[in-house]
Parts: sequence; structure tokens; C-alpha cells
Amino acid sequence: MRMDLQKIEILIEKYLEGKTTLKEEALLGNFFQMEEVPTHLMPYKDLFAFFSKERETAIAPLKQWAPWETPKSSLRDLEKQWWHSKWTNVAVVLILFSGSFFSGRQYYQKKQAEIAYNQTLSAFSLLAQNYQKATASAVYLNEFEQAKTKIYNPNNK
Amino acid sequence: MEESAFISFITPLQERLFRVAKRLLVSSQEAQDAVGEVTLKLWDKRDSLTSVQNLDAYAMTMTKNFCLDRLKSKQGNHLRLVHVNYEKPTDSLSESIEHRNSFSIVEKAMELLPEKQKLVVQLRDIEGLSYEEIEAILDMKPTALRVALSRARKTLKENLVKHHAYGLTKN
Repeated sequence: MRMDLQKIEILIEKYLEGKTTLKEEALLGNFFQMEEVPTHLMPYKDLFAFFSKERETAIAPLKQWAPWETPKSSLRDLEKQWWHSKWTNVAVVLILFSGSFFSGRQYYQKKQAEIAYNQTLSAFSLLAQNYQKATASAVYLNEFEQAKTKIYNPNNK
Repeated sequence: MEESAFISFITPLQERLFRVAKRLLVSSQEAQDAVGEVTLKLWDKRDSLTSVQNLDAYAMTMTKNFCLDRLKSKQGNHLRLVHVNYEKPTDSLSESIEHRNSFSIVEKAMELLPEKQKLVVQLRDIEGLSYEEIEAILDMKPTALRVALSRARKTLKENLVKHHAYGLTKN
């Protein structure tokens, strides 16, 4: 017992220097738990009793400590749904945009074709007019032909 | 990390995280919230946890940082001061009842320690972690850890000796 106490005092010194091993600290803990200790060591008894009491503080696992138990529909799916709706919106906007773009293009092309048709039409009518003029003038060509044959006719020699 | 592996890693650890958080934050409610927050953070990045060497120390460091941030943001919070003031009257009642309870004396002495010393005592004397683990968690050099531990233990002892001396002269 005397021997023990001496050993304990040495351990306490080491303990206060922060140099004890876990084993030595367990030894001290055991000593202060079981023995009737000398008055001058009472503060250490309180200290080690407090430590062991704190170590045993139990607390039931709380719901908020178990994020894996969160129903999948409430957290993950909500997140998924959000993404889903976001992409749906993007798609809708894209479709609307491209739709108006294509119909606008179609309208433009139709207009262009109409203009081209009208232009071709007026070009044809111009051609027709000039053709008539040309055939009318071609009549005079005949006169030349006659005149030529009269002048150059070898039978008239 | 698989869901089942994550659960078997965090569940036995949560009680310890709670005790450390409570040591720093004092309020049980706040310590519960802290453990919840830390668990959720770890859960969200469980896929990258496999690369962490010491998961227990990692979780403990996160808890410590979370609590210290909490305390920092609370400093200069006027509402909190008012709250403490209101708490005082009921406190003194329980104080007088608990006066002879030496646990509360040690607890009070613990509360007076600086944060780092509180953590060191909590992790060593209560949680029984190795010096290497505590050094990793608190990012401390071995000498710094020994000095902090020594100071904390001596302060606790002195406060308890004072209390005992007081008790003796009173009776």
C-alpha cells in the first residue's frame, strides 16, 4: 500500500507534466476509483471521477444524425424533380424559339418566291412585246431580199 | 464509400463527437445540431472519404472546427449576452443545490479553460485518444500538445485544491 502510494505520487507528477501514457492514466483512474484516498489527493479523485462519468455520458442516436434515413422521395427526388423541370423549361423554350424561327423563314421564302415570280412574269411580257416589234421589223427584211435579187439576178444580164 | 460502410463508421463515433461538441458549446441542443451538421457534411461527400487516412480524426477535426466557428460567430452577439443574463437566476438556484456536487465543480473548472486546453483534456482524459491522434486532430506539435495538456491539468488541479481547502475551512 505504501509502495503503491509512492508510485501513484510519481505518476501524478508525470500526469501533471503531460507525459503519462494511456496505460498509466488508466492506472491512475483505477486507483482513484477504488481506494480510499489520502486527503491531499482528494482533488484528483474528483477529477478522475468526473472524467469517467463524462466518458460514460450516453446519448441515444438522434434522427437528425442519420441523413441516410431521410426518405428518398423528400430530398433526393425533390432535387431530381427540380432538375427535371428546369430541363423541361429549357426544352420548351428551345422548341418555341426554333418553331418561330422556322415559320418565319418559311414566310420569308414564300415572299421571295412571289417576288421572283412577278419579276419573271414582267420579264416575259417585255420579251413578248419586243418579239412582236422584231417580227414587224422583219417584214422589211423581205424588201431587201427582193431588191437584192432584182439587182444581182444573173438572168437580168 | 458504401452507405453501409458509412453508417458503421459514423454511428459509433457520433457519441464521442457529441461529447466534444458539448464540451465546447456547453449547450446540449447546440452540440446535437453540431453533430447533425457534421454528419450531413460527411454524408454528402462520402464518395471522396475513401481517400481519407484517419476517418475518425477527420470527423473529429470537422466537429472541432464547426464548434470553434460557432463560438466565434457568437462572440459579440448581443442577443446571446442577454440570453445568458436571463439564464442566470435559475442557474444560481441549481448552483446552490449542486454546490456540494464535486462533478459540477470540476465541470466549472473545465469551462474556465481556454478552448484549446478544453479540447486537449476532453480528447485525452475523457476520450482516451493517443497523443498522435490528438496531434492530428488539433494540428499540434507534440511539445505544444504536452504543454497545453500540462497547463490544463495543473489549472484544474489548482482550482480543485482551492475548492477543497474552502470546503475544509467552512466545515
